Amino acid sequence: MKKHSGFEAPGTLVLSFLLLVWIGFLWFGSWVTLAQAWPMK
Amino acid sequence: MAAIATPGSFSGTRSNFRVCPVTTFKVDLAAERLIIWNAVTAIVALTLGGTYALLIALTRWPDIHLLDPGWFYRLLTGHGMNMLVFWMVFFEAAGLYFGACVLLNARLVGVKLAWVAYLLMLVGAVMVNVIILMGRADVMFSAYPPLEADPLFYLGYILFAVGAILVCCIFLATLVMARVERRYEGSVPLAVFGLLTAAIIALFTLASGAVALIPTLLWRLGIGTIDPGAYRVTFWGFGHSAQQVNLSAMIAIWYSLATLTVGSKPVNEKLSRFAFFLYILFINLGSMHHLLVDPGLGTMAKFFNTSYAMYLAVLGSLIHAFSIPAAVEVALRAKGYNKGLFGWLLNAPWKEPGFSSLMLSLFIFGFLGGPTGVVLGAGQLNLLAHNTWRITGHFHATVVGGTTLAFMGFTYYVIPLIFRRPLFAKPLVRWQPWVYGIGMALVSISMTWAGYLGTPRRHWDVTFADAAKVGIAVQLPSLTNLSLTVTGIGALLAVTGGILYVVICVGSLFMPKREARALDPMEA
Repeated sequence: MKKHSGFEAPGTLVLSFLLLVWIGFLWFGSWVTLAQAWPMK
Repeated sequence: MAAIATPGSFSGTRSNFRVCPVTTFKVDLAAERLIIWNAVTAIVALTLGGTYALLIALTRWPDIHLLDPGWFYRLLTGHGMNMLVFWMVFFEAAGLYFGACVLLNARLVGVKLAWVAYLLMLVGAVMVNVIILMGRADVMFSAYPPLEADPLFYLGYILFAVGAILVCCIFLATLVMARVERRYEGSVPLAVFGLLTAAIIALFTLASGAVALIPTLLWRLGIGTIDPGAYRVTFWGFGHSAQQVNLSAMIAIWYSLATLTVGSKPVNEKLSRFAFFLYILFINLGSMHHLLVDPGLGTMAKFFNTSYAMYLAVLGSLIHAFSIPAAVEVALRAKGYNKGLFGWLLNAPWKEPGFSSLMLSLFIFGFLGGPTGVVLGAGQLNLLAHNTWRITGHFHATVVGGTTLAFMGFTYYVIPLIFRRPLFAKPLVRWQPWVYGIGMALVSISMTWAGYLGTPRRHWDVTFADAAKVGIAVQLPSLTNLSLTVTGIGALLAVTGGILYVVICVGSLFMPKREARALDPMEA
């Protein structure tokens, strides 16, 4: 079976990068919220 | 189309096949009947669960607050059971028979046993639903002891699980027999490999369910005692892992839909298989999400499961998240849609219901369901989110906006090819994935936002309006009411999409029977 390179799908590469940025936003955003909430009241 | 008789290798059995004129697959007629019955039963469960969803959503909407507390918790239990277990597992049983028999041109092994499995699942599902509606199991999906349900509730649960275990065993036996009878060369197709992953995860998921539920049944019968801490651990070995079965089945269907709709081939099939393998090893540890604030478990267990193990499972998901849209892009570029970075996406067949279901499901799962799960799976962050609506927002993006939508899209291929009937109300079919997908995305985003603001999950009075009656003033952020209202609107939209799906499926059952004329369900 012919293998394709990921670079044959540049649009998906860009979308994947945006997904990682989005996960990072959620992840670090949640840590910031945690820091603001700490210590728990 | 005339059926053909093919000699079986064992016990002198003979199987009747028909040849699909569109796909040229040889379809075992016994498997076909089981696929139809399991799929129809799945849709009945979806209808029940969806009806309960509407009533629950109208109760959660503060300005409506429809149900009283008793009925709210009753229907919440029924909603969880029908949506998370019965709809999914009946559909997956149909999917396993489809994968093992139709995709491999193989005969189903143990047809009578498969009917026994179906009946066990049916009897179990009916028992659970009846007991819930009688008000004797207001314990919600997790049924944590010391909450008590009628023993028949646990018995129904167990009967259903035994039937599901039989389905998995029949699937595995059929794969082995297909190999022995040389129905395919080399490895099984990627979609079947994904279903095999689902079946393997299902077996230890169901075993964990048995370890949780059998002692609970005995406890309710007055035999022995139950340890709530041990129950929580073993129950989530079932409760969350069952969603990993759904995940694997959904991804198998994503690969199938990508092939059926635009003719794509995996970018790197070995890598995709490796990603499924990572699921088998690591993804069930996602069950730990539910136990991160549980005092019964030690730090090391939480540390291991929420760090190394979880990231290896997420790696599998990230591989699929790239592989499937990349395969779609490569296929569409090969058809000449090469303009710019996203010309392929703009010119994709968005009016084809299988394709729109696939892409909406990918988007909702990929951008909402998966990432929120990653965040919630971190122990420290889980402290903020546990038992809030953020959890509910997460799994409505995974198991509903992701899995259910993918299953719906796949149904539009199953009806012409397996039921051998044209789709009913084709203009509605074009709209259905959009209405359902947008509704569920709204539900998920607004639930997550409400949870972020502190709204509790599994609570009849989410704004704590009744607390004022006993002198406790609870002031929720002003945005809470807005997000709860958006959830209600999203739920109305999603329920409309669900009704469209059921109408299309039931209407199609009454269409005149004929062989499919084309692969595209809108032309079949």
